[in-house]
Amino acid sequence: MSTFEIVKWYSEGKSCQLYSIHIFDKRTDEASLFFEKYGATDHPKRSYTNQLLLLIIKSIANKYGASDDFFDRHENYIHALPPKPKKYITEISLLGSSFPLRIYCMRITNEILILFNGGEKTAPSTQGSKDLSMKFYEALSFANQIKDALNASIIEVDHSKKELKHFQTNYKIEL
Amino acid sequence: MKSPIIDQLLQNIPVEQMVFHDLYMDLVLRINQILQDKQIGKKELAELLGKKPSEVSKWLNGQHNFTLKTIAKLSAVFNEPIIEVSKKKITKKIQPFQHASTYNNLDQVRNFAEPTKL
Repeated sequence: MSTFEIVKWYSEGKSCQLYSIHIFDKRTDEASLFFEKYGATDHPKRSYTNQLLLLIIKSIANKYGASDDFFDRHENYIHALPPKPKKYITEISLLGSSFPLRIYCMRITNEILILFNGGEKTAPSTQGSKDLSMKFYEALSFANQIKDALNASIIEVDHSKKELKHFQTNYKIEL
Repeated sequence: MKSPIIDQLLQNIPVEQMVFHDLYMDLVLRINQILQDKQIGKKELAELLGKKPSEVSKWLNGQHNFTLKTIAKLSAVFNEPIIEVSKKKITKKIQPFQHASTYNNLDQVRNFAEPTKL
C-alpha cells in the first residue's frame, strides 16, 4: 500500500495549471521522474522527451490550455500525450504515430491538468509495452482516487482561480 | 511553483527547436480548427481543391510534401488565413543562433520565438 498526494508541478502557465502525483516513498513526483529518466543526457529518447516537454509547457500550459486538440488518446479517465498525428498534416510529423514515448495525464478542466508517469511504447498496443502497461494501470489507479475525491468534494476546482482547492490530501493506493 | 527538471531540460533545447515547435503546433491547430468549424470532410476537401479523391487520400495519408504552395492552396479554398506574417519593423540586430540556456528566462525565449504570427 502506498500513500500519495497531488503536488503543483508547473503553476506559471498562462493557460493551464499543471499538477502531478507524489508517492511518499519516492524521491520526487511522477512527472519529474518521467522527465528525469527520459531527458537524461545519455538517454537515446532525449530529443523526444524535449518535444513532449515543449508540448506540455509551451503549447498546453502557456498557450492553448488543455484543449480537445491535444487529447485524443484516452481510456477511462486517462489520457496519453502526445496526441495522434493530425491526418491532414501528417507530413509535419514531429509528434507522429511513431512517437515512442507516452506520458499519462488526467484532464480536470481546460485549465487544470494532472500529469502522471509514462514510458516507452515498444509494441503496437499499450498492453504489449511492458513498462508502459504498468504505468498505465498505475495512472488509472491514481485517476480513480482523484475522481472519487472530486465527486466527494474532498478536492474542489476553483473556477475563478483556475486551480485545485484542498488538493494536498493524502490518498492510499495499492500499486 | 515549478519542478526543477523543467528548466533543467528547457535550458538545453535549442531556440530553433522551440520556434519550430510553436510553428508546428499553431499550424496543426489552425488547420484542424478550420476543418472542424467549416465541417469539411475528405470528399469535400477534394472537390474544393479540384483534385480526385484518390489524390487527396494520398495527400492526407502523408505521401505528399507540405509546401508553402499547399498551405496557400488550403488557405485559398478555406478562404481563411493559415499563416500571417508579422509586418512589425525589425529594429534590433539579427541574433545569432543560440541555445535557450543563454537566455535569462522563458519569456525571453518566447519573445524570440514569436516574431511570426500564425
